[in-house]
Order: sequence, then C-alpha cells, then structure tokens
Amino acid sequence: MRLLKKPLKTFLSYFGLLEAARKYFNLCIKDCNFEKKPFKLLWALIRNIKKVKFIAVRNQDYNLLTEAVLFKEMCKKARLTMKVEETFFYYPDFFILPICKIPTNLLTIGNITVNYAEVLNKGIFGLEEELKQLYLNNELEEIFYLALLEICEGIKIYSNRVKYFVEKKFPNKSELINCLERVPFLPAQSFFEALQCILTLNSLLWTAGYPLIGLGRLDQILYPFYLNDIKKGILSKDKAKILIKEFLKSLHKGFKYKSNVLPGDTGQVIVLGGRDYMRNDQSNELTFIFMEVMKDLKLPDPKIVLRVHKNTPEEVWYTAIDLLLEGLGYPLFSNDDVIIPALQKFGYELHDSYNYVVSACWEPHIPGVSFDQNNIINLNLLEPLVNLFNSNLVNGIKSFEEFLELYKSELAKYTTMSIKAVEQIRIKPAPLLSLLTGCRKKDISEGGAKYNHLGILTSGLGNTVNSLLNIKRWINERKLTFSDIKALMDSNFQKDPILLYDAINKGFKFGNDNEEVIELSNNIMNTILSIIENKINPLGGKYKVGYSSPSFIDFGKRLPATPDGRKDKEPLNVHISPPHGSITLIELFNFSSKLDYTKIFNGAVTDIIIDIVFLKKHFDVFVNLFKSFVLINGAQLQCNVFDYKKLLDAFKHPDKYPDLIVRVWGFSTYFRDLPNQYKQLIIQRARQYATFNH
Amino acid sequence: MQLLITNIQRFCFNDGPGIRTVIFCKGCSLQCPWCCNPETQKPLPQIFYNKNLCLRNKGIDCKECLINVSNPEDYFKIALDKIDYKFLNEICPVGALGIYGKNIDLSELVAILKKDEIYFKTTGGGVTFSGGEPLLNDFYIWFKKLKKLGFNICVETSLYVPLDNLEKILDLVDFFIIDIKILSFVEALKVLKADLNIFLKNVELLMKYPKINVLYRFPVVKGYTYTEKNISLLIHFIKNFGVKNLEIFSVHNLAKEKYYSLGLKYDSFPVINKGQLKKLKNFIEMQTMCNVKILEL
Repeated sequence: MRLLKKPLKTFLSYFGLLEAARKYFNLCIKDCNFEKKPFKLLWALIRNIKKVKFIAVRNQDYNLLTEAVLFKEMCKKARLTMKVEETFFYYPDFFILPICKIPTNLLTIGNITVNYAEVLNKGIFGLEEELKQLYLNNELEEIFYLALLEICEGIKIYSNRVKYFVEKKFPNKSELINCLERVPFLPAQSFFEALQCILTLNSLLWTAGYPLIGLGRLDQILYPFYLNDIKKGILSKDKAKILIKEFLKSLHKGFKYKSNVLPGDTGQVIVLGGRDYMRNDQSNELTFIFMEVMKDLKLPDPKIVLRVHKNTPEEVWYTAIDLLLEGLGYPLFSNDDVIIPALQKFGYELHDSYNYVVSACWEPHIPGVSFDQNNIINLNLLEPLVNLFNSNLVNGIKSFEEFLELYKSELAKYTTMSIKAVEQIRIKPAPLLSLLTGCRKKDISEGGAKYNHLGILTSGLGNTVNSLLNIKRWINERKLTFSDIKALMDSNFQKDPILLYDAINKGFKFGNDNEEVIELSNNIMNTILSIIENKINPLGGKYKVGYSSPSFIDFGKRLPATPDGRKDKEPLNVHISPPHGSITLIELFNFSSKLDYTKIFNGAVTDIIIDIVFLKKHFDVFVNLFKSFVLINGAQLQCNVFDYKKLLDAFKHPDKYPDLIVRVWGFSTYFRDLPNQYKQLIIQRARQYATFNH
Repeated sequence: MQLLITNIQRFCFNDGPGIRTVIFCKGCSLQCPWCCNPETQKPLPQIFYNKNLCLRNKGIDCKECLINVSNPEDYFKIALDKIDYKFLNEICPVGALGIYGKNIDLSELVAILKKDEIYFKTTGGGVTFSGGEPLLNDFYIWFKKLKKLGFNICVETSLYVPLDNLEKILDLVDFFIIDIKILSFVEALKVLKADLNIFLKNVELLMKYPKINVLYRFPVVKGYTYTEKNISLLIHFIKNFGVKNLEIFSVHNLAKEKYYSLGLKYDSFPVINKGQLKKLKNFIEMQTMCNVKILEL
C-alpha cells in the first residue's frame, strides 16, 4: 500500500485531483461509521461515486482567489433537495469535490463560529456595500477585495437558486418563498427569516468543507427578531417553539458527514445564557425554548452549552438539569465568573469577552471576530515522564525533588518542540470565513481576524500527578530506586504486582481536595504556561493552554505502563477527572475549582458521570450542587447521565438500544456508533463513579 | 473530648436534609440482629480482615502485612495495645486489613466539615452523627461549637441513651432521625438486650419540644419488627405520640462481609420486597394520620 501511495499521489496531484480524492476518501470513511475495515471501505468508495459532483477551476496558480472562485462554482453546482414536510430549506452538499491544484498539507480552518448576526443585520447586499466603500477608501487590497466579492456573488447565486428551486417545487410554501426573496440578501425582518438566513449560511459553510462549525449564542442573536415579531403579533411562543424545532431538525441533517473524527463530533454547539458586562443575566425566553425543544427532540446534535454564573436564575437551572436528566449529555455548563476574567486577562477586549462562545468542545472562543484555532496541538504530559525514564538522566538522582525539577525541564523542552512544530503549519486561504468573521484587511489565513491565537490541549495531567505522587512515596517510604521503577514500568507491573495495587489505592490522588495534589497539578500546568506565555505565533497572536484534550485514548496506546497504576496501552484520564480512586463529586468539585484558570483556560472542563436514577431521586439537591460548583469558581462541567446497567446491556446488545446517547470529548453521540475502546472507557468510568456516588 | 469513630463519610444523601457528612460513632447500646454496621457496636477499636479482598486469596503472593506474623489472620490474636494502628491501617494495598476505630477531636472534625460548607449551605445539608449510638457520648460542648460555626446538626439515634445526654443537646440539634425498632418490653429485652422504658422516656422528653424536627424510621425485619404484634404496637405508638412522618425500609444483607471480616457470625435475613413494603405503608396510613415513605437505600 505504502509503495503505491507516492506514485498515486503524484498522479492525482498532476491532474489536480488530490484534494478531491482526499475529501472523497474521508467522506467514505464517515459513511462506514469511521470503521476502517478494508472491504466495507472499498464498497463505500464504489457505492458513493455516483453522488460525486466535481467543480473545476482552470489552471492557474493556487491562491486566495482560487478558493473564492471554487466557492462560487460550488454555489452554482451544489445540489438542492428539500422534503415536503420541511419548514426551512437546508441542504449541505458534502459530495461536491474540487478539481484544482491545491498544495498539499494546508490546514483547513475549522472549529470556529462565524458572525451570523452581522449578516442578519446587514444582509449580503449590506456587506457588499461596505466592502465597496472600503475598497474605494483604499483600505482593502485588490485581490482580497475581489475574493470577498466572489464569495458574496457565490452566496447570492446559491440563494437565488434556492429561491427558484422552492418556488418551482413547493409553490404552496409561501412563507418560505417570501422569506427566500429577502434573506440572505437583505437584513432579516422576522424570526422566520432570521432562522432561514442562519441555515443558508450554515449550509454553505458545510458545503464548502469547513469542519466543526459552531452556531453561536442563538438565544441572544435571535431574541430581537423574536421580540419584534411578538410585539407585531405575528408570532406566538408556541409558534416560535415549532419553528425552533424545525430549525434544529434541519441542523441535525448530515449528522454523519458533519462528524469529524468520531461519529457525532460535529462541532455544532449552541451557546445559551450568560451575563453581560453590566453583570446582568442574559437568559431570555428563547433560552428556555431551546432547552425545552432539545428535550423533546432527544437528538445528540446540535448540542447545548449553557453559560452560567453566580446569578443565573433558578428557573434556568431547573430547565437545564431537567434537560440533563434526559441523558443526552448536554447542556455543558460554562462558568462566566471564571472564564470571562480569564479571557480579559489574556487580552480579549471587554465587550468580546462577555460575548464568548466555545469551539467544538468547550474551549472559549470569541464568535465572529476570531481565527483562534483552539485545538492546534495536543500535549501528552506523560510523554516527558516516560522519556525521562528511558534516558540516563534519572541515574544520578537521589531525591524526588530533583526528579520533579528534571520532569519540569523535560516538559518545558517538549512544549518548546511542540510549538516549533506548530510554527511550520501552513493554513489554507478561507475567504468565506474571512467574509463572515470581519476580516477586512487580509485573509483570515494570513492573520486578518481581530484575534489570531492558537490553543494548546493537554492530556494526562491526572496520570502525571498520580505518577509523581507515587514516585515520591516509593522513593521516600519504600526506598525504591529509579531503576526499580523503570523496571516496573517496562514489565507492565509484572515485576511486582503488589505495587500495581499500591499505585492505585494508596495516598492522595488527582481529584482529592488535598493541598499537595492541587499544588502539584498547578505546578505542572504553570510550567507549560511559562514556556508559551510570551511566545508570538506566526499569525501574530499568542498561545493559550488548557486542561483537556480528545487524545486520551490515542495517546494511551503509545505509552508503556506508568507509575500511577496505568497499565501498558491503557487510556489517560479524561479531561479533569480522576484516573483512579473513589472520589466523590463534591471532593472532585473542590479540587477542580482550585486549579489555576486565571491564565490556563483553553478547556477547563470537569468531566463527571451521574447515575440517572440517583439524579432523578435527588433532583433538587443536584440543582443546588451544580450551583455550588459555580459558587466555588469551578470553571466548566460536563456530565454523562445514564443508567449504568442499561449501558452494560447496550454494550452486549447494541441493537436493543439504538437511541442510547452518551457524551464523548465535547459532543454527544449514539453509544452503538462508538468504537469499542470508547465504549469500554465509558463503562469503566461509570463503574468508578458509581462506587462512591450513590 | 476525643470521639471514637469508625468512619467519616462525605456526600451522603439519606441521613438528613441536603448533602451531609456522616460521622459513624463507635459503640452502641443495642445489639440488633439485623445490624448493618456491626463494626460500630463495640466501644473499642477492632481489627478487621476481609479475606475476600485479600490479594493472598487471589493467587498473588502479597507479603505486605506479614512482618511479625505468618498469616494475616494472626493479627486477631495480638493484643490491641501492642499494635501500631497507623501501621496496620496503611499496610494493606487493597484495604483488606485494618482497624475500625480511631479517635478524632473537634478541630479535626471541623476541618473536614469546612471543606463542604458551601454544599451544606446551598442544599440545606450539614453534619449527621450516626453510628452505633452517637448519644452515648456527651456532645454538649461539641454541638455548641458546631452550632456557633453555623453547621446544621442531625442525630441518628435509637434513643436507648442516657436521658441526660439527650436533654442537654435538645436545643442544639436541628434534626433527629429516630429508629423505632421493637415495641414490646419482653421482646426488646430478649432481642435487643435493652429496656424499652429508656426509649419511651426519651420519646416523651422529645415530645415536650414540639419545635424539634423529628423523623422516625422503622426497619422492616421479618420475625423481629415485622410481626403482627409489633406492627399493632407501632400503630399504637404512632397514635399515642402523634408521629407525623415515618420512613420504612427493608434491611439488606450487604453487611455479610463486614461480619466475617470482624470474625463474627452472620445470619442472613429474608429481604422484604417492595410490594410488602407498599402494603405496610398503606396499612399504617389507613390506620393512622401518619405520612409513610418508603426509603430506598
């Protein structure tokens, strides 16, 4: 296979087909539910070929304009489909493939939320007008101007096609036809138009191939339209509910193809609630409607992040926990009182900080004005530790303190190297995103956005902290040497199996509200911070870091046994949650709220599992428990809520529970669709949480 | 005062309102045959060894605790004053061997409670003294201090306790959970080895303070408390003392391992099923004005 790869690549790229082939291959993998079984994949490759539609750009040097032209071509050719029962038009065409000599190894920007509100308020005509003004004032470079105009042109062509399509096919849908006459060309005038406008733009973003597109603070964006219609008497609360239901159903379309790495990993996050810079709570009727409708729909996607704070109203909490009880894995709670000050301290402007949403999972992101790629690289905190044991550096060491210093310097080196790798990344021009994120000087891929920061993710903090604590105990109390510990790791604890139990059960652990554990955790994270804090990235922005990463399973596969009691190839701990030990929820809350989030906020999620029966039984207590998490300055909270027994049964008989939903990384998905390792990890963690939280 | 306890458990839901930290006091005035906390009965530290947990019984040659003995069970033969408690509690990597019973003082307890103060405040929870029988101790000074610090105090008691200990703390306790067990003088003496008069006198004392929050609980055990005679006595008791809230629950056999690990015998009980509990609930509610809830532990 490998021998074939290179000539095949050269052949494809000569005809400008490499990008198309890669995209097609990825789509077929998604079509096989991400299972890379050769036969299945081959069948998918054959089966799907009839769906493909090519768009081509004539031979010219690849640049920003090429992307814009490709987009316009896409708008001309994208397929349009609609079912009679649908209220809105929404159809992302995933199988539209470009024929063009796009250089390989360009990073496609994703994981961002665009400025839907701007299009709602100005319309594409308004945007075009603004661009013209800027150009005439010599504030816009010609090539960039032309690219943006092409994009506007594309959107208009697409919208016109949609309008004619609906008129012809569904002449009875007068409300939709009237709406399509206006949006997205003109500012939206009604709630209905606002919803359709967002869907049109969103559909185009997916068709254009940008992954993990967020939806933003929809309760805030849509509220003026809702209120206006209510005042005019053309909308009722019930009608709004029906419209939002249809809107969300539309967004669920293409679940499979929108998924990025695992089924469900779509990045479609709706952010609700929050507080403004006057510290007023911003939840409104739509906040409730969205949550209530999601409860009815029981869909894993799109999903909700609820921004909470000390003064979040009681009713919002009750509605949210009621939704949580549905077992869909959301809402995820993000504490404004912690996140907003951290954003301001990092350098986001006051107004922007209050407007934050999240990237695909929970990494804070300023919508509509940032390029911020919050998931640019993953650090494996255990790797420097394992490297140390594999080097001869540990030979001369006598004390734990020396070892800790050595680990920190190794971690610093590892961080520096990882950043060097990030600096090599080249980014694909994205004029469509530029248009929708306020880039008016240069393209978003060249640093044209207001914010151009890069986010680093980390995995294995819990395992590292527990490893270090065990090493300390073993050196001081058991009088083990570093070579003893190395031998233990190499033998996967076979050399002294008792130590495996000792490692798992003894001493304080990551997640205990114990001073030493908290201090050590903060010490490690601050080591990374000290390296990245003053670095400037190639786009002129900074680097930020956080406590989470989706790599806990993949990283684990590459690592030998580690002193925390993690055996060879076993996964690392999941975000902020204990790798081992019976730790109650309140103790974990106490612990995680004492982690340093002031400068370390790029993912600050505590990840827990609650038994559904337990939650139901003590509903009121739990509402207050979640509130307490906010009061003690916990940052973000994600909960899987399910029945443990059902989960076990679903593992054995997946067909019996087709609708069972669980939370993985920062998304919700159907349990049966997950790879086995993910299923097993969830079951194992559920067992761990069940022992002490019932 | 030093308090002898077996355990402090945080994040409890079934021992009073809200989220609670429960202190299990060691020492009890009764010996209920269905007791599910046998380690709390004796007012002295006790060695335990759980054979089922022990790695040696899982084919692993663990020698962690075999320092002066050749078998973990030999620790039962050593006099308590010759044992280093700290050593014994920390030696076993799986917690199969150790000591039930450690002394804590008030400042230690306060430090532990303070960690969860926020949850107590938001959920209306606090500290619960359970056991064993907590009120065998004179808690006046402790409760006064805890009250001053703002902790909500709950006591789980059988009321087979010195009247004096109860009277002193009446003003300081926010919530009483009282077990009603056997209500015939003869049976109480025979089964519980206790004088029912003590219980009744204490109940009378409590009745004089109608402001105190009291929740009665009734363990339903076939052959002991769940007999025709005892149920009719219970109805009488409810009517007599105007009991408004009663929780009934079935005993479980989960404590079997604990009995064995203490070197005690264990007779398992027929578990009362949900249907029977419901029947009993309906029966009591029909006969009295009392509100009966089935407690699921």
